[in-house]
Amino acid sequence: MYRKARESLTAWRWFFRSLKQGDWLWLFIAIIIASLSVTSISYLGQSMKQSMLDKAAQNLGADLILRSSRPLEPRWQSLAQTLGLQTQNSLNTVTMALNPKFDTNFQLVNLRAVEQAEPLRGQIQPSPELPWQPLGADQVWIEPKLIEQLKLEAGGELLLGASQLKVIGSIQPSSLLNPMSQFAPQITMLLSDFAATQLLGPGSRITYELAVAGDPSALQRFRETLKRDAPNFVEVISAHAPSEDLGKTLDRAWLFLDLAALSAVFVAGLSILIASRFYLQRWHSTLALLRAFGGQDRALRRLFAWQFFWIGLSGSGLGVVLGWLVIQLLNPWLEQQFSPFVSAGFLLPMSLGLLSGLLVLWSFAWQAFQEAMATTPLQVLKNLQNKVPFYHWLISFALMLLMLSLIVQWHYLGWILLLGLLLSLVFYSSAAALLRLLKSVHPSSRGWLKISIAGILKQSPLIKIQLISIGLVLFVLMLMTFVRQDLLQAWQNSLPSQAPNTFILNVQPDQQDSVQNLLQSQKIVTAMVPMARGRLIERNQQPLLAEDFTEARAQRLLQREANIAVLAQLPEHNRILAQLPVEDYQGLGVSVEADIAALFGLQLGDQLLFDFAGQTRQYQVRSLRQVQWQSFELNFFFIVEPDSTQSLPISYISSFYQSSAVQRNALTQQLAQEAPGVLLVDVEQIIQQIRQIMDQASGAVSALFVFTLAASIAVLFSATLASQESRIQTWLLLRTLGASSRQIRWIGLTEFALIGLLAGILAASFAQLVSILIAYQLLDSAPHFSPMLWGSTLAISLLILLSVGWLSQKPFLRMSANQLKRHLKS
Amino acid sequence: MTQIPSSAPIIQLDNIGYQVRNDGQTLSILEHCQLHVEPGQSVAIVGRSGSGKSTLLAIMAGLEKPTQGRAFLLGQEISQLSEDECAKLRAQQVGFVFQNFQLLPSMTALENVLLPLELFQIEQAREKALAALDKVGLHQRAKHLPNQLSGGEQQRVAIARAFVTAPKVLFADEPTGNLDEQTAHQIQALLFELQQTQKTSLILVTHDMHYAHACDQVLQLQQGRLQPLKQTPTLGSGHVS
Repeated sequence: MYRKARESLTAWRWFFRSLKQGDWLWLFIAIIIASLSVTSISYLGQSMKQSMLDKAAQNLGADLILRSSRPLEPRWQSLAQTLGLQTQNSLNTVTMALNPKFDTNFQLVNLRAVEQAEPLRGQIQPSPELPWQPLGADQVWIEPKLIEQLKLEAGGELLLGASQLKVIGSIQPSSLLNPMSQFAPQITMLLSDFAATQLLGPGSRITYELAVAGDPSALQRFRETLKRDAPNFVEVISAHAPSEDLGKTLDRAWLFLDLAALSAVFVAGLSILIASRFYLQRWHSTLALLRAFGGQDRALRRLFAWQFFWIGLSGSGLGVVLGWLVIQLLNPWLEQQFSPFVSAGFLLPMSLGLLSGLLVLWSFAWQAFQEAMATTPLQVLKNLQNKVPFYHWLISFALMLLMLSLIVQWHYLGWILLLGLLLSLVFYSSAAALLRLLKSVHPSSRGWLKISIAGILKQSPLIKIQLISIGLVLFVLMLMTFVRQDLLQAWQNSLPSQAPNTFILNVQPDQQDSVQNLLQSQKIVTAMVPMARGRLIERNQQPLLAEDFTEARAQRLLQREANIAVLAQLPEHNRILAQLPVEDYQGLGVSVEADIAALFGLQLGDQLLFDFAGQTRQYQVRSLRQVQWQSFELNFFFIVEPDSTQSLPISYISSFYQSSAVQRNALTQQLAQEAPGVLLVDVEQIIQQIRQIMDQASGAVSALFVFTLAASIAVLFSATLASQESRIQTWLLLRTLGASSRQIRWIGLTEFALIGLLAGILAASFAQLVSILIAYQLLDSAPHFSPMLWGSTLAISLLILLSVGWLSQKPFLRMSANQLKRHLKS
Repeated sequence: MTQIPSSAPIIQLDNIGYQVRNDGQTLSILEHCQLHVEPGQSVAIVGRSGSGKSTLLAIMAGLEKPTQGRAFLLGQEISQLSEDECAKLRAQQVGFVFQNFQLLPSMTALENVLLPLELFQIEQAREKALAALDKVGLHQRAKHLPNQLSGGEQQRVAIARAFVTAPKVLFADEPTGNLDEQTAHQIQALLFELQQTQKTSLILVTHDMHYAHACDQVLQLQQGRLQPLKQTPTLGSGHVS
């Protein structure tokens, strides 16, 4: 034990001495960057996720809501309570509200009856329009727009069913919760008062809800039981994904964050790969000597493993501390961005950072370590090549796998590994091919170009590693730059600044003109889209029954009527993914949203039978469309072709952007008067919330990009330093032969420019290829050839290599032959 | 550390041969080599470049195993030992000095001398290393890096490192090959002085005949065979055939 402790101390001394002389510097920096990136990204990611979830939970008023059109079984509430979760029952129904002062002033409202006035998560947001009081018996809170619509005053009363209730305040209702269903303004009352309204009866459409909140692990257990045992008619709404599309957007942001962390670590890993080889090679002769002196294999392995441990621990430790400092610097910004900001806690990110630093060192330096350990004592007398058995690659790979699993989610791991392996292979063969090309050019080149090419070819194995690492670094950087831009652009496009924030529904054919005129009088230009309420009942003469499907979403869609657009032309904002050839057309056509087609297994050419309020119609699937639901454009699962012979029970729907809240309210009033029954839905608040979440996600994505950049610079420096010795040898020879500083500078810079050019070509071609794939697969944007990507990759590659070359070689270019010789000896 | 009986020779080679296979052909590097080195004796091996001197040195030091015959180092037959057992045998009993010094460039003179002491976790390592540097006249330059030292000084650091563990035998492979004449003489004198004060056996591989003749035995390696050029029985009881 004492001996082991002394061994670790000796290793520490050796490491510290080398570090003092700058030997392990780049390796050390790379570990610091890896650990710093993982610590800060993990903290940032976790905190942002937590803050967004908290925000979503506040909007929901709970962590999770069970919703059903039938009363919820009491066992769910008991289960939640047994698990230590808080619960609250509520119900919703759509009914008419009347101001008893004005007998004619009816308004459709969404009546919400709650067990307790305060939600489980978040707080009631009183709006200033009315003096506010806590909710009590026979009292209601109303949504602000009802004040105008029902001409209410403070202390005024409302008729709801058989009850007359006092208005004691106005509140802003939650909006992320199924926004489109809450088209009617909300009124909140206590559940204990609901029975007296006599609104509960045969035929009344009531939605029952059970809100649940509490400890995440208990929630997870509750969620698992629900998934297993809850009947299909119970819908579970979670703060994790308040809406499916928002969930998708956030998932992409998380994936990008994970990829940013992974890139920073991977790039730092490359730096470790090069630096560890470079530094350990300098130890080869000393290792041979120590073995010749009688150092035993196990003792030497232990000593060097300890050195690596110390390098890893101190590098990661420093990285974690710096990560903590970065977090402290970022915290005020985060608190500004997220309200409220939930800090994820430092322990987990710090442990992850520490572990990643150690793992990235071992996985990338394993080969160099084993190669150094394979040094035989005979090498004190003879030049021999160290051989490393193949299985060490597998160990290295396993360590890498372990490291990856800390950073990315398990379900991406396989893809990332496969892509990584493929990329490495392709990069290796491409680098070899580029070097072969350079070799073929060499005989016909002249002067300093010839000497520069010879300098590169002289150490082709090392240059191959340099090309791969620099190429990969540039590739990752360019890819991240362009994917980031694409990602931000895609988000911006999906929710442009003038996204429709007002919807008009339920416009009957005879009201179409008056509504259109009313809109025109307010200078609103928008199309009225005809639609019918219908239900899909058969596919290719086979009935589609809810019980045949396991997915709750499929069951719900088959049980309910959906809005089906009746249009001859498909909307421009939908992307057509597949189309049936015209020669296969039979009867009338329907265009199906791609996710729904996948859910029901619908194919092009399938015959679908719809039920429109008792009328059945058959349509052939003509195209599959991709739809961005979060864009707030009018979108439909099904768009059917109009039938000139038979008309469907049609109403009209429209959406537009109206910047002023006052005008939106005024329009609501006018619609109520001139076109009774027409509904106006204001989604401005939801759009604001979604936009805020997207802004936060894009801010995070940009911030994390900086880490990858820092890691990349470390790689570039260590890659250049690795081949410095051979370069200086050439310069020494040239100096001795009488070459001027200018000539040597040219030769040196040409060598760097050539490496930059080759690495740039590698990086640009792969970045182009992968950005096309990502655009197509992930971002739903059209793939395109990017001359900008090519030009900038080559220019940046050349510029970086020349600058790094210039900076790292500058001191040597000023040295005399004798000084160069002295430096080489050291 | 393996102890040897005091009466045993430091090195004994019995009919040593060493062949390598190259492109399907067997190449004989050493043939029927015989050697006996007693404690404290100095032996010089001379020969042309490529005559097999380094291979012979490697076999004597237990770094390489002969393909034929028996080689004994410190009383142990090295063919019978594993790599680790060979290493154990060399530990603190064998020292090396090379033509190119083989100092770790990022460590100071003192730190280079400390390496073997720290490897074997010897107590009072720092004091011992400083004393070794003092013996080679470099106490004042202990904190200098190799590139801040002249060639002769670097070789002195290497000698201090070789002698710091008080080895029983020192293998020196062209220790003055990279030095000017005057410095070479100083290094030669230093090596002999330390060898004699520490009663270390010295196996010297050199081209310098003058230097070689200062040893008790001088052997020439020619066409793979060891031939005696000089034997001084008064200085030791080593013999060669």
